[in-house]
Amino acid sequence: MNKIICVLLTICSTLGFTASSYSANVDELMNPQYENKITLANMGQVQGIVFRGGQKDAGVTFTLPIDQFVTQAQLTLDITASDAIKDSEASLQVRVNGEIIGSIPLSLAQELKTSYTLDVPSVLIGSNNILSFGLRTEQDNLCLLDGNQAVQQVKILASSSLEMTAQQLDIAADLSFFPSPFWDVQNMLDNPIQLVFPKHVTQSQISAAGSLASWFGVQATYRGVSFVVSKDELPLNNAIVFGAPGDKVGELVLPKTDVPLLKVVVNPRNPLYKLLLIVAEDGAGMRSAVHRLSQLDFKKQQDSISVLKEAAITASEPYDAPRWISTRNPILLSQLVTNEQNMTSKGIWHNSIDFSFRAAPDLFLWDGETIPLNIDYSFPPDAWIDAESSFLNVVFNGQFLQDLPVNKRGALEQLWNRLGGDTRQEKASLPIEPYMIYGDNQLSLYFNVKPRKDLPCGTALDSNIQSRIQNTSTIDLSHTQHFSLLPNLSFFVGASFPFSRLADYSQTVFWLPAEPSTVQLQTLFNLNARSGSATGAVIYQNQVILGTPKSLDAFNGKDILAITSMVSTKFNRLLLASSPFIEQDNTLHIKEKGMSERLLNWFQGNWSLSGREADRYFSSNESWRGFISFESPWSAKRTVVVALASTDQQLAKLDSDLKNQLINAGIRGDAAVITDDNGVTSFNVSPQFPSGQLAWYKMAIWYANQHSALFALLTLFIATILGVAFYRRLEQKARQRLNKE
Amino acid sequence: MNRLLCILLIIVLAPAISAIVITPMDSDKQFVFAIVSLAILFLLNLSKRRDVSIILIIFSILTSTRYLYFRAEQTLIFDSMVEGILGTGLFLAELYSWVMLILGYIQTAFPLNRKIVPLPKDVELWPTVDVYIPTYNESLDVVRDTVLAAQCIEYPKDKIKIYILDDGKRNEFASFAVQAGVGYISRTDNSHAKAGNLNNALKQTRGELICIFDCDHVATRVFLQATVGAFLQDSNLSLIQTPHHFYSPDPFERNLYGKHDIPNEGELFYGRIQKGNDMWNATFFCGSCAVLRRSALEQIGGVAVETVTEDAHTALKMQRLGWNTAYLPIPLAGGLATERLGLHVIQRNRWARGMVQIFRLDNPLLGKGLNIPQRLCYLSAMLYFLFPLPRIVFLTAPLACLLFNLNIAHSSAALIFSYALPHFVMSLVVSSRLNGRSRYSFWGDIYDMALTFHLALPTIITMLLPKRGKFNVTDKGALLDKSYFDSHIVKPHMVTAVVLILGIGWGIYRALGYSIFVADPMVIALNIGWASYGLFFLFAAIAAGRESRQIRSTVRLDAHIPAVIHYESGVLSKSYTLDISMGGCLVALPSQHFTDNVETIELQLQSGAVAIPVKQVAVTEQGYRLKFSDMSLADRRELVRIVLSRSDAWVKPPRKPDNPLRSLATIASCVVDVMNDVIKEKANMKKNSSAVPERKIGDNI
Repeated sequence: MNKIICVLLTICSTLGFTASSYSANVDELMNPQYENKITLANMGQVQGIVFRGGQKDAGVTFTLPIDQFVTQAQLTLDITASDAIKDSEASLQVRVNGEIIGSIPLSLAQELKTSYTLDVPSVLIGSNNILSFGLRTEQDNLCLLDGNQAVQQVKILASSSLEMTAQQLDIAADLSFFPSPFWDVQNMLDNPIQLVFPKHVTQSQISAAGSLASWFGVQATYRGVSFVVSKDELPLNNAIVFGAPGDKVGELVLPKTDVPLLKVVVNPRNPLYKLLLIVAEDGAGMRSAVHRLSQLDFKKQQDSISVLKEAAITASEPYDAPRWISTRNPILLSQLVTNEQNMTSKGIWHNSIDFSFRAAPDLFLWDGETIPLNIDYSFPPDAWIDAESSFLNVVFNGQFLQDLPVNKRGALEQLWNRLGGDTRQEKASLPIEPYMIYGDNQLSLYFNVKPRKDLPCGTALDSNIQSRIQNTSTIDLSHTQHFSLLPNLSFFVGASFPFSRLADYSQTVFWLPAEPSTVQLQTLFNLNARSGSATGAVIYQNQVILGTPKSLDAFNGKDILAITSMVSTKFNRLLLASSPFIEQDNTLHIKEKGMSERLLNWFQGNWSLSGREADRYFSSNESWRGFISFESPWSAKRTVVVALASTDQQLAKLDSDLKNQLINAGIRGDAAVITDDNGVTSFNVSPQFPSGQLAWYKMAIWYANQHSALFALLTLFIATILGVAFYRRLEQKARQRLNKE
Repeated sequence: MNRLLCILLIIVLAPAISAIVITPMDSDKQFVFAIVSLAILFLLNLSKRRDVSIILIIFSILTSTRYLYFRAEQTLIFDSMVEGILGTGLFLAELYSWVMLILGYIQTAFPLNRKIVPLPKDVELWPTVDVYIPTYNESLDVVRDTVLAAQCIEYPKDKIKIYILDDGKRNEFASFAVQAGVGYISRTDNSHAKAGNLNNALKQTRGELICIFDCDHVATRVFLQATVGAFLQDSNLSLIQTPHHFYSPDPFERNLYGKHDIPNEGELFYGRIQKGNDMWNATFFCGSCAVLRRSALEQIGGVAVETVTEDAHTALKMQRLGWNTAYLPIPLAGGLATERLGLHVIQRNRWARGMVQIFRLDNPLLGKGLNIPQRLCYLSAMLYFLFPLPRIVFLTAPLACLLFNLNIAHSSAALIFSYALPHFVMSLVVSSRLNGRSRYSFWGDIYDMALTFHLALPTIITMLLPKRGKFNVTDKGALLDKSYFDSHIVKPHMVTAVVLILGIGWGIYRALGYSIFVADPMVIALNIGWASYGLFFLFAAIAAGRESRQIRSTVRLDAHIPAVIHYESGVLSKSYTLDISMGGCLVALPSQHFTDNVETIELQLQSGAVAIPVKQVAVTEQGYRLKFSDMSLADRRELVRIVLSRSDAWVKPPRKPDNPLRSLATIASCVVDVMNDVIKEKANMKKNSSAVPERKIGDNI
């Protein structure tokens, strides 16, 4: 009876430390207390938890950093319930890690939000926890269907939260804990990772930190990761320190070493916190050290390691990012299924089967072509299913695609069905329009199984039916090509494109002012982490240039990601010299276009350029941050993306802007300005250029496609040439015909 | 510009041409393409130059090919078998239309305006001519004037011989032939109908050239002088065809558009297509009003007998042997049109079957002797008659969506509309530009629509079993003394119209959201528009089925011929005619007006005076309206010479140029007129129904 349809989660084995590894005799000052608040949304239940129909159990996991010890905890539940529930004398049982901590009578719940607070014994909370809920009634069968079969709901809102007081623990300085305690994959509180540099930061240190940032990005869950950078100053926290042997960072002097060194030491400012030192003389050493670090696999109770051998780092091929769906072959949906679900739905009430995949953002299909989503599915054979009103809902990226029926829908098939023939539909091919594919995609299949109306409620509850997506189901991107118009900032914010075309950034240069500020570095690393999470690859091959490059050849064949703010005037002038943008009096402007250029743009069909509007917008806002992008003046068909802001304070807000769905989606075109008041505003300042892997003759067709007005004139031109030629020929022929001898 | 250069040019431009055809676009871009294309079209169309016409033809072909490629490439994806079958059917119908559009352009791109080749001064050099007038069951009244007119043809008496080829073996025809002084040939059997009749005569006469008139085709007296010269100029010429001009109204003119000045159904073929065929040396024989070379005919074993359209097949066989054909676009003979829609259907049924027979038995694409344009011209003539099935498909296709919610083209409404719009408008405007003086826009739809249901089955059966079928003679010259509705002929049209109206109603109902079926309003709107378009022409075809009362049409000539009036009292008075026809004349009142009845009128012609007994019908301010009584054959012949065989008897000034929108409005007003007439008549009938017993006329079709 008690069918548990809760999210199955494996409990990870706790990391190797014991209670003895923290010392009890640390004084209060050195042993800080934390006030943590985790909401259901933080735990990943952005929609809250909903009990539908006959569903009775649900649960969610939450995790805490391993070096924190909870001393007090309180759970606040915000609940709404529909009327029928109130009359049912049902109650909501709450458990933490299996222990009942309380039961809420739902008769008190309202349609509007009702809040309940429960104390949670702190001993129940570890680093991995399950918070579970159960609906309990006195009746055996909770038949939560009213006469219209509309489902009654109990909803635990996403705003429900767990408030905890925690204490910092002292864990051993042990490399094998890495990435703990510097960062915990399961940390639900978005604590930033602290990165520390010497006073004069070098290109190779930034490059290595960038690689490491992207590695964190790869590891991060949907919550992402962020960084705080300091120079020549140790934070009162766990931190990762980059530097050359003998460099002084705050009160710490980096150890002298001939080979690249990874070492965990106690933070001199507070021994509860640890520092990871990444020390190497040069760029290659830094890169090997970070590479070694990202391989993990450290021996237990080892606090340092010298990286003796230069590791062979495999170079990327274009579009080989591990997280990007293959466009070589059709992909089985079973490979894309999320949360270790299988592709079977049991019973009548269940969750949707979810699939997710990332794709290169520059997938190209000709107008009219679509991506086939081939779904092979089977509804339960049971006769009590209402075949007319049961469907398989297909939702792609939040957009309803189609309801697939149980039986075939054609006129002949329906006739055959009336005659008692088998007309089950078990295959469907849905076309997905190319514009519906994003960088990050969610496919959701939900078997909306409806029992026949005359069926007693219990039968449906008892049944053990299975609806199934077959293993042969595929999505086929194999006839897409990589081709797009650049610059396109939405590609950049969605998938770090075009830099991620080569996922290790071997054709990317990071370009920053000569003495980059901590905020600028922080912004760079945040962007690097986004790249890692978008591609699943570490950007080992990135290059950094600070200030004026020795030679502009450094930019040859490279895409450039620049980070700056308007105060870095000298750098900005250099950066924007041959771009459509220009710096004047610490304000960004758009270069006025000449008549010939404007005519050319118009003639090429670029009618929606909004340079003047952008210029007005830039000059009318004092405090802003954003992105601009343009074709590289130093290398044709290459792109420059600049993250910039009026001040460093503004620049610091970019990371949270990018984590905001609304703002993220609003960044497009080649200039995007974000302000506190107006959110994001995007512009197309310059014409885009085509970039990608189309053969020349396909490029010709593509040009025709893009310039349909010109294309009509071409048609006229061809018709005129042929027409005049044929006319001459016909005239000649007519003369011959009339003068026949 | 020689041929090689043209081919080279096509090869050089092939990449650009294929880009134009295959470049896919979304609906927005395609709309831009469509609108710019149409703007170009309307601008270019302001110029009436002939080379611009050719440019527009190429433009239209490119656009339509682009549409068809889009249909083939993107829209043939179906969810169910039923949709697959219907959708493929629709695509095949569109493929057919595309082929016909291109063949039509090839045929009519550059029509040849052939001039008369004068005969040499030396009459000795003129070839001898046999004039054949084949008849089977037509009345002597019809045949008489044809024979007399043939006798009026100006040609050396020793070089022209006229024969009545009577398959009806009727005595009165034999005696008429003797009286008139022409040859009479009949035979023991009627095998191979008209073709057999002609072949029988061919064996019995000797003329170098054979001139053939159907028994209702009255020739002008210059007929041979206008046509024979071409044979002397081109020793390889086997046939010269002239237009079939009809002086009586065809069913569409009579029933539908009588009071409007609109090119009749045959004018497109004789005005434009045959001229175009002549350009490609592919004029074909139309059975009458033509002169053929005996040696060419004999080389192919006489007139072809394998099919029921012996004429076209004969020309094809001669051309396969390398003979040339020519078309002289001057009307040199006048005849009677088929009078009722029912008869028109029977006649076209024969043509359609015959052409399909040739397509199957002697396909112009295959076999020896023809060049490519010739093959295509003949192919066009034959494929044209396959129109019924595609027509029915186009007419009923929107029902799949409207009634059954089937999706027979995989595309959004906007996308398919953006592709179809330039294809449709361009082919319409370019066709109007090319053929506008011979056929106004949309009338072809009506003509085809009237036939389509009746020709569908015969063409399919003939396609499968080409050897079946026999010749049926088209009745002509019958009179209708009462209007009636030929429901037998338009019944399928009416059923289809009702179904379409239901479909449109159901579609609107669904689009307004009253139905449980989810329907895209744009798709429904597109289909409603499409169905309404078909329905409009269906109404016009139905209107053409209402047979209006017909009075014998006569050819009346406004001619001032000196005349002497003989009164009953014996008094004579000099006057002149105001008009004259084969039935009577209007004579101006003489200065001295007599109250006496007129007994005889004496017409003073150049060839001498002819006195014809008359009955006085009326006296008006203008003069005496006189009806001719029986007259001698010689007198009648003189009358024919004046009235029917004048050299310019059938020459008319050209029609006004076409305007598609005006044409559409005209059709609408014609349909409304017919409906008003029907309503008025119904009201009258109710009043008189007790008095007059109903008589069914027309059951003898």
